[in-house]
Amino acid sequence: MSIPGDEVAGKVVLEIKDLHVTFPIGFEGQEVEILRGISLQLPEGGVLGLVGESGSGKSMLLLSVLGLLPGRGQISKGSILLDDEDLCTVSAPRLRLIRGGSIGTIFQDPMTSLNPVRRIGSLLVETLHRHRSIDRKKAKVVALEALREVGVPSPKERIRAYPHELSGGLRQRVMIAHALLNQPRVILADEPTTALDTTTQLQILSLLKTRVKNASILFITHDLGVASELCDEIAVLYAGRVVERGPTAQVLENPRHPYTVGLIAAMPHFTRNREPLKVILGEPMRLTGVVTGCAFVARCERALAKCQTEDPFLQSVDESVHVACWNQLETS
Amino acid sequence: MKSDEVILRAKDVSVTFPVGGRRLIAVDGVSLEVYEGETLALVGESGSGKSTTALALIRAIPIDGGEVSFLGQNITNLREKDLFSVRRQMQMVFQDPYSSLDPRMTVRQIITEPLRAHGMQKKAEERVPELLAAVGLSPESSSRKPDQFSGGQRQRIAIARALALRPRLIIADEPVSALDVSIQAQVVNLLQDVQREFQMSYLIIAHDLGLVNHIADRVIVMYLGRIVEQGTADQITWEPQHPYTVSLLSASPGDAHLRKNRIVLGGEPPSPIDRPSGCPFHPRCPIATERCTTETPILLAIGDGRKVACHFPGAMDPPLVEIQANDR
Repeated sequence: MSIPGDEVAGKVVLEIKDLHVTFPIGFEGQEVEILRGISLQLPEGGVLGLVGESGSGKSMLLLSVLGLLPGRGQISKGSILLDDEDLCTVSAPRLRLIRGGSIGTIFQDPMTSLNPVRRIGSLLVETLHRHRSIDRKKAKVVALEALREVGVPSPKERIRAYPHELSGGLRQRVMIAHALLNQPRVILADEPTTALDTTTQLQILSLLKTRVKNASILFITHDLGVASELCDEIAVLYAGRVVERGPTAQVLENPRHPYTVGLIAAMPHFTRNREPLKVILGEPMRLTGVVTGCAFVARCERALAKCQTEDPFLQSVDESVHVACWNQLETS
Repeated sequence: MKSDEVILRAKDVSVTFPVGGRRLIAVDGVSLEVYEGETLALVGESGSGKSTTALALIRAIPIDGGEVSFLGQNITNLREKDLFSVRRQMQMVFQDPYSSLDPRMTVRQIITEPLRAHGMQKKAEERVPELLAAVGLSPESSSRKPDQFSGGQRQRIAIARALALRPRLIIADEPVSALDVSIQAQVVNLLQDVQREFQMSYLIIAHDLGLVNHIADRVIVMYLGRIVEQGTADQITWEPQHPYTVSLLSASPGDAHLRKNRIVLGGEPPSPIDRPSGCPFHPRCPIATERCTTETPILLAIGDGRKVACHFPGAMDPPLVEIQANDR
């Protein structure tokens, strides 16, 4: 058996190895592990979808990569390699250069992630200044071009606009232009279309698909349908763990982890057959202490005695699919 | 279950808001019926007027034109005092169960408040166990406060509150879109179970067409305050007539195996502040002609209970192909 994911073809841009993140709770030195050994590889030019519910740790993973864990959260083990540079150990000034430089970020709600009292242009120009030596005039030309490339109509006027003067879709286009400014290696996108109408969502997904040519994308979403639109690979997160990972089509058509199976069955599909939806019983796991056994066991229809006591690890089923389950489904 | 009896009827309803000395038309001549026991869905992008329409139908906001009747009574100009008793029969479930429940009240107080408001103190206490059971909450939940519950459980509490008065109509505005995927299915099934048990009609406002296809009997598609298409859920899903309906179906994510023709709609969701001339959809419409820029299409019946407001209905191919359930 190989170590999961070691055999990804092509050059890996971002590699997360056995990442553990803990938060202290209470006063007696107790802590809770919210990421429990996550390993992922993002290949050059690839799009990896991280799918999970609230509390699965998907946003914490993204904040770990950015070195922006909130409060007293810390990386207790593991590494995050961006082109062989470990982001867990680099200096703070270096990390500031990487954010907005080789890593571009798109958040869910551009209304709260764009500074409301600054014009779009000043935001873009500042990010350019911070990362390259470029004069004001040149920076403005680059910023205008960046807006044009993401399909912002009449960029010469919009560059003088404040975020609130733009629609949600336009604000997200500005965010994408901003994330792409310094030719990043990696784009981190955290639910970038969740706040948008579906028609605008499709525009933004198409834009990401066509415009992001030279960067890899780590795409975080709660929606498997949205992930399937854009991602080459999908990793399903549950309670701080990757429970299943593989090429998008394989995960969606032949899910093997009972949680993935349940998520897919719970989505309403277009069909004339209107039987009640299949549900996953219970609530998403909240990590409050040490987990013994599989974190999904209480909600699992296929649980074995072993699942109560032994924590399943991610193992490869074939070259591309990895599943962490003692009683996974066979392929059909 | 479903019957031919109309419980809610809107005729040519308009709602306007004052904006900078002008009147902004949010709902523009909407006529619809809600039948007893059915689920009617209102769909459209933000700014389409779907939520405003629902609020107008229950007289939560003033109606500027047209007429609304509920259970045979014209409620368009009813005074607040008289509306109060009408509202016993119409209850709401909102999108966000974090802001729609009073954090200082216990579950018991929350779900009995409608009964107490209507002077049924005694009945209120009796109904608590039965309401909790109907939405799948344990009897012990009644003494807890909302912050001790997850989003899905809170939405169950909100549904119990809506059921308390045994209404004939529940209006639910995006009732599951704030919930986790694995919880959405639970709440959708619950809504359908209690509808069967309590014999109610639903008016559901939603943007997820997959969900709408699953839950609704009939669907009304709105654009810029107008109805552009209406039909049964199957008609809307498999034989959409209006280019806007086709675009919405195209934009619904996932289900790649069903897709045939996909169009990416350009432009922005519409704003009623600058309403285009002619057909309001023409600036974004893939098949608009000269005529569409000047002549506003009216909503016309095209048979089988379907209606569409388009000069070229059915001109675009359906974006989804139907496959048999066993084919997957």
